[in-house]
Amino acid sequence: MSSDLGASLRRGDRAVLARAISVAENGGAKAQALLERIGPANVSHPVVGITGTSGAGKSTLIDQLVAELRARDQTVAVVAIDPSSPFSGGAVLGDRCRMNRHQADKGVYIRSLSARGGTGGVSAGVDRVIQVLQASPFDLILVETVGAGQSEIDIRGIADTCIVVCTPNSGDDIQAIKSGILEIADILVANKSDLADSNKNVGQLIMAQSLPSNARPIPVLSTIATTGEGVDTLADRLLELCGSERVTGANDLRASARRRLAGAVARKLERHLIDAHDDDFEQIAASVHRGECVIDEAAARWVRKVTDSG
Amino acid sequence: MMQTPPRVLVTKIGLDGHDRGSRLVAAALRDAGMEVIYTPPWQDVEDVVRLAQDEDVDVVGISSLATDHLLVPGLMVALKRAHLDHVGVVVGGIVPHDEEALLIEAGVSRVFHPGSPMEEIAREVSQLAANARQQAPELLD
Repeated sequence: MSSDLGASLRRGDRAVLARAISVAENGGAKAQALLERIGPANVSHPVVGITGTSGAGKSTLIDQLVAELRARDQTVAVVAIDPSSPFSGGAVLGDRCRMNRHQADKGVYIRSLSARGGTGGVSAGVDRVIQVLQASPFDLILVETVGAGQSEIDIRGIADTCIVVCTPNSGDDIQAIKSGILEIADILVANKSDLADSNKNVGQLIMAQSLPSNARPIPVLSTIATTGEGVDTLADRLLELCGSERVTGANDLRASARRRLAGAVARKLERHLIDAHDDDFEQIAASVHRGECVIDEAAARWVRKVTDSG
Repeated sequence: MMQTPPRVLVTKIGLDGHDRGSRLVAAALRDAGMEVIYTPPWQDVEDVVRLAQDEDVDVVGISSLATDHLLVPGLMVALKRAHLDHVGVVVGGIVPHDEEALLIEAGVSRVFHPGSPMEEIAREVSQLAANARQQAPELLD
């Protein structure tokens, strides 16, 4: 099985794919060996992040989006991340419940991941899982984050394109111009647009996008995920975006690789610093603890130390 | 102990929709540190095989309260056919004592009857998961 691992993945062998994802997700030397054997990721399979608050309808929207993409002859892999317990480390992974009807379709692969302690909306191993999926024959890879609040934006460093799902009654027009998660969107989806107040919600999002200071106005699309209304337009815009990024070519792909690498480094570094008890880091942490230094200055000091010594 | 959490599929096959028990067990396994892939009831045997394969689970837990345990021997055959013999299978719920042997003979590792302590279920599932990982085909050499 091992010598033609890459070939098995490219052929779409699901048993190999499922096992390879586990090995990649679990990390360590085995994951490293696996990824080396698979070779570099095929970045022409775009990675699409879908994020938004818990209960916004992300999974249901993905279910409808997968149906639309399949109708357009696209094969789709879905990575659905749910939170892990801060107490037991366990998790109930229930996103795929909403996507059950695609279970028997060979052109769809759905995999549930636990965040395994990750707090930025994704898990630490998701990069490696995506690398395995990019070696497989799926045209698009959708990554559903944990229910995200305002600043769980790690998906930005992982996906080429981000869809942020919003709902009515999620605040006033000031909320709509705040920094954070709304800014990482390439497409803003106003879901549950059958609910009262949804026009107001869409209006607020469009208003925020139309401010003259906004360099990159983002499309706002209304959907009703439970019925599929508006999802055809969403699929159109998404495929347009994925296509244009691939056409614009090397620069964008390199930018995407840089962004993904920076994100992966940040997540690794956080884990490393917490576990490794590096001397410089501990000293600076102690001075923050004693109140001698504000956290921002302390972080800058550590970065200076590391970059100077190199 | 296993280095990464056991992955367990908690599901129901057949027409029985009583899912309170499966949710209770899913939550208990979560609290015992496992990653539980939870599905609604009414799955068919082929669904469960696909789920077990795609999610690369170590253990499948079937909750049955209305005779659907009689579909489990067929599930065992289907899992074997899909080369998933290493996956442990447990059944919980209402299983008449004189039908338990039928399930065990078909390859089910354990039947949990009403009143089984959650700690015992978690302990056994965890042990089965560890065994499954040892028996799973090695991907790298």
